[in-house]
Amino acid sequence: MQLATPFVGFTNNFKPEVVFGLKIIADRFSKIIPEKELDEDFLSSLLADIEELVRRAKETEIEEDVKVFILKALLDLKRAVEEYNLLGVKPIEQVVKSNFGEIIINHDKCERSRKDEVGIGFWEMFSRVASVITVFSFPPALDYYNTHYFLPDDTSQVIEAEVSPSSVEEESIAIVARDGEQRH
Amino acid sequence: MIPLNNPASRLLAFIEKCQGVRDKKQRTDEVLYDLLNVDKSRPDLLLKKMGELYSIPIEIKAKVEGMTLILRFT
Repeated sequence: MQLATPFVGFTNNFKPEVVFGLKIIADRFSKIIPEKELDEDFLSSLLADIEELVRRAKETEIEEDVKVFILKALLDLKRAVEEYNLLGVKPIEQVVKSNFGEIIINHDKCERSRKDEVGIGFWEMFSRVASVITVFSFPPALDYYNTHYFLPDDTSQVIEAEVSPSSVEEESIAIVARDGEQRH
Repeated sequence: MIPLNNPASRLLAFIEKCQGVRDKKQRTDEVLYDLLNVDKSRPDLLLKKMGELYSIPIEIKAKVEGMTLILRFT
């Protein structure tokens, strides 16, 4: 990637055959190993809540270390939400995990944060996010996921896809696993 | 429409965004800073984001109408 060259050079890398192949992969991944999806309305309301909490956290009079902790967590979550369309749900999960891990590592600070209304709102919001990202899961693909493509001893990690399309969106895609079994 | 629930579909969405840029004579980094919403003083973040975006961690071998198309993303 040449960062100092005209953008046309960058977009020329997206050749039709590459885009076509990506569409096939995207279609298969969305069925076989879909990630959790978050609703746009939920994300918008979450962003609004974060901004409101950031504003209140800046104004409230709480201990400095607690304020820094709350603001950092809120800004990390805001960034993760803003990048959802680009990077998916994982950055949001990461922020939630990190935040709840803080309860274990810095229990005292978390307890002190609950003595303030902003802190209470902060923990309520993180609980809501945690419950939403926990509710969504991908059980239909789990068994397939575990038993086929990603077995630990499968060192090659190759998927063979037989496609007979005239356009990717409209056709059914036949995926034949390496063992020859017809999947779809 | 393929949902944005996997790295390949998100990369496709990004490619569409790139192809929609009108002035393709601009410097690549300037366009990418805007598209990826990265502060221009943080080239490290830009490269990190690009790395995450392009990270499709398995090797795909697809046969397309008799031809073999091999895409490798590591």
